[in-house]
Amino acid sequence: MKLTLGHDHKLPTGVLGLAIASDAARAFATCADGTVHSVDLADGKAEAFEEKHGSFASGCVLLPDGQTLISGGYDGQLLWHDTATRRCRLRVRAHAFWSWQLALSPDGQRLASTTGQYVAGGWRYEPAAETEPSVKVFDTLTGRAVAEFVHTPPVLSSAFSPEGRYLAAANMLGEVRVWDLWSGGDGKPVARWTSPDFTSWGTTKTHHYCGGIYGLAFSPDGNVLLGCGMGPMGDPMAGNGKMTWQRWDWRKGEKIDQIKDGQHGSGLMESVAWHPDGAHFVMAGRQAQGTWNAALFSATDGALLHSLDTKKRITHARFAADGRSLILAGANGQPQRKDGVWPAWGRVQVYQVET
Amino acid sequence: MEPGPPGLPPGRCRPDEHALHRRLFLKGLTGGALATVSSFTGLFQNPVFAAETKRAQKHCILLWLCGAPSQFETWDPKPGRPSGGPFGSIPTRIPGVHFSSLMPRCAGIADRLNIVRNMKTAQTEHLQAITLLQRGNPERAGFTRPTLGSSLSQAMGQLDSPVPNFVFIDPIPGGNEFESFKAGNWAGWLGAEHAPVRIGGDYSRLVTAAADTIPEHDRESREALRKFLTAKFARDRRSGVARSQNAAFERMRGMSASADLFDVDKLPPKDRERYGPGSFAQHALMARHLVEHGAPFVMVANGMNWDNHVFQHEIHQMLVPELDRVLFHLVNDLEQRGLLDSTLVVAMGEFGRTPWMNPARGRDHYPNAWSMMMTGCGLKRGVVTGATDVDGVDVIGKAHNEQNLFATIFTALGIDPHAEYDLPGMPTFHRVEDKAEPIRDLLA
Amino acid sequence: MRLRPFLTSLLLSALVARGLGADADALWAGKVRPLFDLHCVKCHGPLEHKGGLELDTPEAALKGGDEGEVVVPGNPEKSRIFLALAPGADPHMPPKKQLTDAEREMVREWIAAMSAAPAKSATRATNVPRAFATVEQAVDTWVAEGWERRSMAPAAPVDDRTWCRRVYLDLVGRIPTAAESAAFLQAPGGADRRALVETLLASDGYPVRMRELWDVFLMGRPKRDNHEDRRRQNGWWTFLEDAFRLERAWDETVRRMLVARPESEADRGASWFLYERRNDHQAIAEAVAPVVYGTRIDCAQCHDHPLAREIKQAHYWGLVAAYNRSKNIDGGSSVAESAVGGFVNFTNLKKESQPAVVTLLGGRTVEEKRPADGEKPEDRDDLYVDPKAKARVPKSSRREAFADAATRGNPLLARAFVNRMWAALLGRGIVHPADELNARNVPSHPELLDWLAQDFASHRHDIRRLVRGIVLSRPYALGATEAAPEAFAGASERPLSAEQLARSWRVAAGLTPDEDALRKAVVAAIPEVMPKDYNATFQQAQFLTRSPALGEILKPVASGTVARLAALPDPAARVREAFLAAHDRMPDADEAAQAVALLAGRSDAPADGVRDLLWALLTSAESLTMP
Repeated sequence: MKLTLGHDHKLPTGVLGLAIASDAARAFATCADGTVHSVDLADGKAEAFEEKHGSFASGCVLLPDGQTLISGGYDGQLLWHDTATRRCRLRVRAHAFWSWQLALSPDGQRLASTTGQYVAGGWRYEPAAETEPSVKVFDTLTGRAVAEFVHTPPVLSSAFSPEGRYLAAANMLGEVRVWDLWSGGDGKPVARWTSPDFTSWGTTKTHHYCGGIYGLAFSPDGNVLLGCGMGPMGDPMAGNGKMTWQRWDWRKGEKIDQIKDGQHGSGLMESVAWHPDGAHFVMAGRQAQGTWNAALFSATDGALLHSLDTKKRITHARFAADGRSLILAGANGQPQRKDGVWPAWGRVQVYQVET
Repeated sequence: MEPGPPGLPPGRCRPDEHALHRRLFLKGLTGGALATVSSFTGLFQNPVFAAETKRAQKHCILLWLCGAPSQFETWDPKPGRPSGGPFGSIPTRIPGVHFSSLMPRCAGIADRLNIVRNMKTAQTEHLQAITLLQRGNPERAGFTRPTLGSSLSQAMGQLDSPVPNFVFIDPIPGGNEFESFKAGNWAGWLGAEHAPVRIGGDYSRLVTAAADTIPEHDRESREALRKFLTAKFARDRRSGVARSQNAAFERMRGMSASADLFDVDKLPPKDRERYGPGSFAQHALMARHLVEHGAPFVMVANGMNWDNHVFQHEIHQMLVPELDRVLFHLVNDLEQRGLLDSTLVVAMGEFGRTPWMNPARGRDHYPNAWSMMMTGCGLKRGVVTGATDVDGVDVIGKAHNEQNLFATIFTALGIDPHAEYDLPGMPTFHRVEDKAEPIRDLLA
Repeated sequence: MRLRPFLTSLLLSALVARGLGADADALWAGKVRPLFDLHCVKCHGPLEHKGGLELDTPEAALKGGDEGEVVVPGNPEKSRIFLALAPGADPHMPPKKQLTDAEREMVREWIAAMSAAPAKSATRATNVPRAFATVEQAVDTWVAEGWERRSMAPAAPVDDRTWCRRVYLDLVGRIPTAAESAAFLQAPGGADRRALVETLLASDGYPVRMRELWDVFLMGRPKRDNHEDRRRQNGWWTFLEDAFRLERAWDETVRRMLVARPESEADRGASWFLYERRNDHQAIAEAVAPVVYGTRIDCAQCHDHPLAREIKQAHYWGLVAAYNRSKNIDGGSSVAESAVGGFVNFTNLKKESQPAVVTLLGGRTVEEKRPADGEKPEDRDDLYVDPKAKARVPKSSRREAFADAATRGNPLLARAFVNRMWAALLGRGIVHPADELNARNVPSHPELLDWLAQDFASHRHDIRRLVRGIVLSRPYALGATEAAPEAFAGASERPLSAEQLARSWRVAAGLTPDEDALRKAVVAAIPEVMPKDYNATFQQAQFLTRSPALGEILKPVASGTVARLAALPDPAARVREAFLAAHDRMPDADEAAQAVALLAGRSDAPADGVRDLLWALLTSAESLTMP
């Protein structure tokens, strides 16, 4: 399997959230200036939605009928947009703090948003307990919150299982919790484990935690959970932890495998996604040192099959529904202001997937 | 020598009275009512003098935010701008002035703080910038200028005081560039007796009572001989090792006498809860406690945790609220205890952070336009001086550098910033060079 | 060969610098260079050279930029660099700042002090190499010439007694016993310094002392409790000691360390240099650089070195690349190496990305075929010498190629060792700081350094030859001085290392010198070796005051000295003997009076009095520094 660059488009500010229309001709990007854009993937023409977030627009999901886009932001708000008119029809205050990431159940009926501020809770800067529910689930039709779950903040990522029954969410300390949405029970997780390989506690310049699991995805058969982030660094200011993904048998909370030695560079990986064929997955992020920042892996043995260095930070990687293209969204390093103008730093790229 | 005029609030004594105090300690000469005192320590036994000394003592607490905090996420937010970051801003008690939304408590006491928003300095790398902001002047090859704490230790400190003149609290042994700085020469040409007593290490209490079997009195006599021999060696051989050794032993004696002041577990529990969890908060409380017991200069650091090249907002979301809470309680507590007028509180790093984000979700170093906070002794309250442009890229109009900053600190504490150091055989050095002006807007 | 011009240009630049006139030199070093470093070098220096102009050395300033000269020696009013500093000048430098009048005066003074024709004093052409019969002769000659040039007189030499103490501490890490000192001083025919040096170099104490020094230089003080044990158990200490004991050539020792494939059980410690760093390839690179180049290159991780222009980011990552195919094998101390992989890119601050190639300072690279983007070369058995071996050795081994290049035909290796050993013995390197041997730091005696390095390299990198030469030289034997330390016109103050202290205390206490408990306790309390700034902490004062280990050796039961002194009839005798034991000298009147007073306070328990007296002597500054 190989990836070749098809299109490369710019947006004014860094792209922090991405959703793709089912025909993969159009993408929706949420950006660092709070704006939401509809992007024609062929010619790169971007049209801004009417309403924006008051802070970083961190994510968006497109409902299956393609008519509604829900965006979330660091303003804690969820916005429902009509994709045709680009108007906002609903605004829900989801959290007091940020919505770090959104996840949509495969049937499009449930939206998960995770939150949580890292606040010192102990002598060694262990995170303090949550002051609001870290994980919330909303009905995508009405915008009503239908479930809330407890986690240790900040909770950075979440994912629904293929049948929509289970919701997994992971935090900065590398702890993953999985809840059964259908059981209607006491809200306790049905599975819970911590991976030590995604969090740093400084030993050099700083003593605080840093890191986390930034991307989660269930395998197509629902038995395995895939997560990505960055390995531990002695100096949390270095950003040079190992590019890491791990797969877990989530029911047992056990690690199955992880990225192979020698196949990784260093840097934060922010996104994992499965190829529709179920036999491959992609991981992407930012390269601190190494040769790639996006790579395709075999689902069978986790071996790296193909890699790319797009020379920027990737925040989201998504395969088109037909598996023939991969859309990578992200940001360059924000350029300096020149003559009063801030150059564009958001990017959306389309790669052709060749098998 | 007479005590200051009655009714004068602490910290408001005239500079010449301060000078008299110092000469008194240094030379042991006195006239008038205290003529019978024959030793330095004896001076502290005299209740009138001790009280007077305590009242006249000035203090400085430096919250050293090493690594450099982002001015966008603290004192000079630019919401809605490309440089603004994800946190908004909130109004403060000063009309027209906003702080980052991460600082609600400081916003509520902004009328008791002062902010300098037009800091502009020349060093972009940590070691050089830490040196610059700690010593207040560019380096001159071959000479080591004393750090602020050492300089103030000399100017404001008391010999033979039970509390060390310069306390430095930092629990993190490492720190790369900061570690290099910490291992260097703090006191410079002022000599080892003005070097800091360092508390911290790996979150552990360092003043431990060691078990020993040698009776106290024996220890004192042999220590007296060691000191004599070492002092002789220092004179005869111009030995830096000897001077440093004797200074260390002096500090140890002082520390033993005031060991409890350095034990976090001995701080009042309610205060500990108020200041909050985390070593920085607890050590800031310890600094207040030390100041209450007469410490002239306490510097509190927490490694280089502000240097967020990676995960800027993800870390600042924890660090800034902690700073917010600490400053709030510190300033309030000092005020309530009648100490704010005699204590200068300074909170700053060695530069600021870039308006633009890097690909690692971080902000990089930015000395070109940054902010700091200082309030207390000798300063007005509620002044915000200096401004940056709409994006925080450049300072608008006048800028201030480390020399202006140090001139302000010295002036506020009643010390002549342009006075020469007394350094026989050395070139002329002033506390602040180039006749740099203090930031007049801030001075009371 | 390629590296020679690099060295010659270093030499030449030092010469030219001297030829600018001594005043200009001093003004540059003391005033103008720091000023330019702060305000100018960022745009006109190794990283960026706007207008083709560089201002980080006088030569570069003289060379000028795209628009011609900026400095006219002796004539500041015609020098464009000076004119540009004036307020309102066009063009104005620095672009957004105004230097103060005082700062501009420094620049004016400096230009005025330059002579138009360079190389007045450097007419003594160094293209004709000078010959010396011995190393010490070379040292004596050049250092003396340095005194003359600086118009300074050296301090008086120390007496034999002091010299003996000094050389014992430097070569075997402790003070001599009374018997050893007497044997030296009272030898028939007079004190024979040369013979003593030979004896000490051949003794068991010498390799241990050198190992203690070089263990710290190469590995740092152990960070964790068990590190010392692991270094010892894995043969690292033996390996280092063998380097000195068996008179191994230094380049061979370094090569074994860098290749890390010990060929015998006795040599297994060679791989520990890499192994202890636990596959942290950047840490390995940062540790290798001072050994093979003489300079730290840590600054070059994220950008080219901002001041030492020859150190580029490529060198840093080149060193990382040399080692990033290596990996520790668990359970042992072997370091395997892969035949494939390890192709990394590095990015600078401008986000420009470059592939890392094994590159040495001086320009040599190890050529390799780089796989195409996305291509993943297979790790095949036939790429290894013995594919079944636990620690597989690739047929084409990067670290071996690097080790070869770094230790054969790399003159920096010899320079680095010579400078470091000089610093260890004299308190300051010929290049200072001793681990910053780069374009930023001018040697105080460049020809001497060149000669010593050349001599070292051409005599099998023979360490004893170098050490012998230095300790038998005149500068080594001088007393204290007030003069500038770089002239070596007198001894610099040198604090003792923890090991030297521990052993010397035991000798003074009448005990055998080596004992682990005391040594470890002192190392933990006083870990610095050759600190740049001596900073006694109050924790060290606490240690000296309360250490049970130190208290142990002062107990009469343990200590020969305490028991012997306590048995003496009168306090004055005890005091004299105590000073002899601790400092090998008599007390003067003041010291005697104070010491006798101390004993008088404990006349009821003479052993306690002696214990306290000895404690005061052993913890006073005289015991903590080189004589």
